[in-house]
Amino acid sequence: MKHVRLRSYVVVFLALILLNFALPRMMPGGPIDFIEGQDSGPTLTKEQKESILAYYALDESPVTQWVRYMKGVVTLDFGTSFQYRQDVGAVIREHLPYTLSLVGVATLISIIISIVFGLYSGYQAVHKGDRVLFGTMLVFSALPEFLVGMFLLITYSVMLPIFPMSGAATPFLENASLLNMMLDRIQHAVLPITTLILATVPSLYLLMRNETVRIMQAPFIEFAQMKGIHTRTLLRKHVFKNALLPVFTMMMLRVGLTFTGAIFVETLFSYPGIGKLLRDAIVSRDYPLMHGLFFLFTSIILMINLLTDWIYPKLDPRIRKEDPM
Amino acid sequence: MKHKKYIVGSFILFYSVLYFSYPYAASSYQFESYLAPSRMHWLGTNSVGQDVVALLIEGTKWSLIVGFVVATASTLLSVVLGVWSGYFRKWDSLWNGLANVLLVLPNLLIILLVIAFTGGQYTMLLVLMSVLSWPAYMRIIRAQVMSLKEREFIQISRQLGNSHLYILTRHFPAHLKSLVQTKWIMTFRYAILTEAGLAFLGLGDPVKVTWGKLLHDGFSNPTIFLNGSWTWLVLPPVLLLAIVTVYISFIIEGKNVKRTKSSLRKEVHCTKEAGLRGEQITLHYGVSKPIFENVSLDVQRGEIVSITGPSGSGKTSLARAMYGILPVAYYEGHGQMDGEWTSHPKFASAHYFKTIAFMYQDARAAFNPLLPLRQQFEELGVTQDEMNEALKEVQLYETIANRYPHECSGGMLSRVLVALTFVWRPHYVICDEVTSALDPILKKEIIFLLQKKAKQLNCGVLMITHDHDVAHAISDRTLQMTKENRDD
Amino acid sequence: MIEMKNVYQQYGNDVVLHDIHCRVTKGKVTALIGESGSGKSTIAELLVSLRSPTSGKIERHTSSIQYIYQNPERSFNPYWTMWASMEEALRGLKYPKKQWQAEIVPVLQQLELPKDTWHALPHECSGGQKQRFAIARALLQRPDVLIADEMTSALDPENEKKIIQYLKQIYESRSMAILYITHRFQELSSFIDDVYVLKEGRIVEYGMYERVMSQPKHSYTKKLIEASTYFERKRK
Repeated sequence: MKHVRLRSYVVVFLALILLNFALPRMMPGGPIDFIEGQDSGPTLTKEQKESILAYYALDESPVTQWVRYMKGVVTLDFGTSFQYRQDVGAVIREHLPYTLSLVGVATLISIIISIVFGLYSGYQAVHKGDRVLFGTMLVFSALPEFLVGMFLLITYSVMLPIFPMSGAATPFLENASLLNMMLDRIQHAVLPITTLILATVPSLYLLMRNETVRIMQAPFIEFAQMKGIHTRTLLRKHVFKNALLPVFTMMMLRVGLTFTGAIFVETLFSYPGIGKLLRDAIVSRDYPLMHGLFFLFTSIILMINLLTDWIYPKLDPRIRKEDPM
Repeated sequence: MKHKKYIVGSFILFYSVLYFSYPYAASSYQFESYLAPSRMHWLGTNSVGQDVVALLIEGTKWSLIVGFVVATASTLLSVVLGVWSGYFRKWDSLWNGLANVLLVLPNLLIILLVIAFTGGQYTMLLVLMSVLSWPAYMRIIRAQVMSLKEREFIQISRQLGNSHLYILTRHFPAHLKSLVQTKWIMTFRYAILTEAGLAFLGLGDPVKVTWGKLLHDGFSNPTIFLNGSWTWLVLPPVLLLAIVTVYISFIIEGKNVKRTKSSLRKEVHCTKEAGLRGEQITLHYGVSKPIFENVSLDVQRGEIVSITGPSGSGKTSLARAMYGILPVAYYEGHGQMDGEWTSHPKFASAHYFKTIAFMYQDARAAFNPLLPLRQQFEELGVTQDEMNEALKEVQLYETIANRYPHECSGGMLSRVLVALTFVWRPHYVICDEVTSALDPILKKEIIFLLQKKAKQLNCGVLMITHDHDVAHAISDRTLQMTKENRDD
Repeated sequence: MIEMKNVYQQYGNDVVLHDIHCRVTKGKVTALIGESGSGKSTIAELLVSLRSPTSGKIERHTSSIQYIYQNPERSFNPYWTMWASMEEALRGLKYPKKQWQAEIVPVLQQLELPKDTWHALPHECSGGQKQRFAIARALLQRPDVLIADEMTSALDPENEKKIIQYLKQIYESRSMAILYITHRFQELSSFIDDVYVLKEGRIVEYGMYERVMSQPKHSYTKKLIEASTYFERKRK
């Protein structure tokens, strides 16, 4: 089982690297003709064309191109961004912290909220508290990040101007003490983080609730109730872990999705993280930067998957004993 | 969701009337920019002078087409591949492996990578989304097909000489129907939202008007928030998207939401008589027709009383009612133990497993699979020594307490259950079908253990069983329940 | 009719069956007795070719074998009426469609299934009725061998007795072989001819029913008979 999963990660990784290599070279007439042939996007200046040609080195033989390309991948050297005229690594390093803090905070809060609400709701299943929560979550589960974000933006930036509409910090902040700067940053992050939370919680909550409802019907829960155990102990010791385990993998996959959600949220709120960077790179056809960012996104998501596979057996004694790996 | 047909139907009707009768075309730029809504232009005009309603009509069409095409193609793919690999197991590793690989990465990332180089033309997006969105349900359908294939009635059908084609076309569709419906609806929503998201990022088809494109055009011009035109430029597509997708969620969930009655409060006056007593219990599960009516019985300390009867006679529920664990809304009458009402909110923590214990029917199912046995003793508040002694009395080593349930055999677990039941030396014990799943040799052993412990502790035992021989062999009194009522 | 010779069955490293020799003969009721996990169901699955043995030989002198499963709840397509399930059994045979009715009705009548259940859905019938329908379906194919795998263990004693009576009656009216698989002795009694006792994948005892019951040779058989009949004896 474990080997199979590991193998599929390697396959995914290689396939994406290959795709990234082959796609621009497979386009009829090469990347430039292809871009020009489309009626969309910005027209390319001569300088841009030259940099694209130099980047892909199309005059060399395919083998040399591949070697050069792989060398770049292995040494994590993705070239120079057309747009920023800077090393891709440096550009990414500058924007990564914004996304990590958005997604990190949002993920942590989402997991806690959805587990607590899911447990409560599943335990109370079909009573009033559960019905209200369940209905609300169902509504939110239908809405993707950009719609939730738009509602928040319209409500709290346009109609009630409490939070700023865009950016990660106010430029030229007056009275720029350290405290004020921090408050300013937090103020800018509130709406994006809330959006991510609102978009992530419902699906995690629904997973947790449904599993809790299922576990609550298990014989060992009835037997635990027959032992006269208190509700809180029952939930903590008997329900929580049994309900969490089957959905743990799904939940972690969902967390991976939060990173792609960041692309929408950052674009909507003009938040300078790697999500917006990726979107801008695609729109302005900054191929080296795109290459680096796709590599990063893939790695992050695969890392989360690996981490999940590593943690899971430690949580489930039934697997631990059978497979000592 | 009874009105599903009417709601969807009236939407289609309303839309087609608008589509054919609205006077302006989406492609005409003949009006002034940012006209506010008026009788001429119901939702005003945008920055380049297009009529917003005309745009919405056009956008709705293309957005819904995305949904229909992708949902249908992707559903077909997942059904065909799911049945193919689940039923015939041909190329199973290929399709399943491919599905695994596609499931690891979010679809969006792959779509972005491809359209970064190819551009986001409408048909390109349709193909991409169809090709990427089948794996999740293909896996579910595959699992369902594999389990169906092993089901007895399919095996029988094969033995009766029926062909694979017959089984696939006659037996399978009804079982897969609801799965396929759900898959189609989910993908419909996924496709509309993904297209809208991409268009919103400015990566969709630049010439096709869709809901997402309208959002993108609105947001690319920040002045709309200053002149108030966002109310007619951004709000309508946002609301349309939100309403459609939220409505779809309720269709999906509406399939499996049910309500139950809230529990009744009731007042019970207990008599002072000793013993474990069921007083005038009528079991009706909250619906009108009772399973049995006015059953009264008592168990005194030191005696074994058996209740026998066929399945469906309600004997297991009677035991739960007497123990006080059955929701009071399900029955009339009450259970009491030495003058105390067993369903009283404080009864459980005061008496369960201390003065009255319940021995569960299936030892394997009774233990929490994720806790070592030791913890399942300790949560009753017993000490290490008490636990060890209890285990010793059922001929088990102390070390078994460190094991998880899955590491023990059925026989061991049955004995652990006996140990657990008697560890606090209860005055009364209810045994619910404790031997019905056991092989003869183990059954005899467990019943001997039970008898011995009950005698030793002067315990009142209520045995629920469908085994007449056991009931008559060990009990002082036997009550027989039939499907209709009780005989004594 | 069917004979197993020197059969071994292995799953991974677990040897489930060791050197099994057994025979199901026409006109006889053979019983296979053992605890859960002793390999009874594996033998049944080998006999109806749901599996093939790791080694050894199975000789079949008929292809017409029907298998009745333990759990009647799972033996019927929940979306089909009982009648449709009966018709399914006749599809493969060369009867004209008009004759189907004439084939099905007598069998259902013989099993005393009430008329209002004939067109009912599985969940509307009781477990005992479903098991009788399962017998009916098997009989419609006029099999030479009938394998009943723990056929009554999901039923309560009243229904169990009834089913066994029907089975006996059918066996007497038709000529065929029955293999009756069970983990209990007491339900068999009267109509069993031969008995195989299975323990941990080995046949520990074989013989005529009366002989095995009165003078068991193997210590395990003694223990099993003693435990099986203990409460019954004590009751008397």
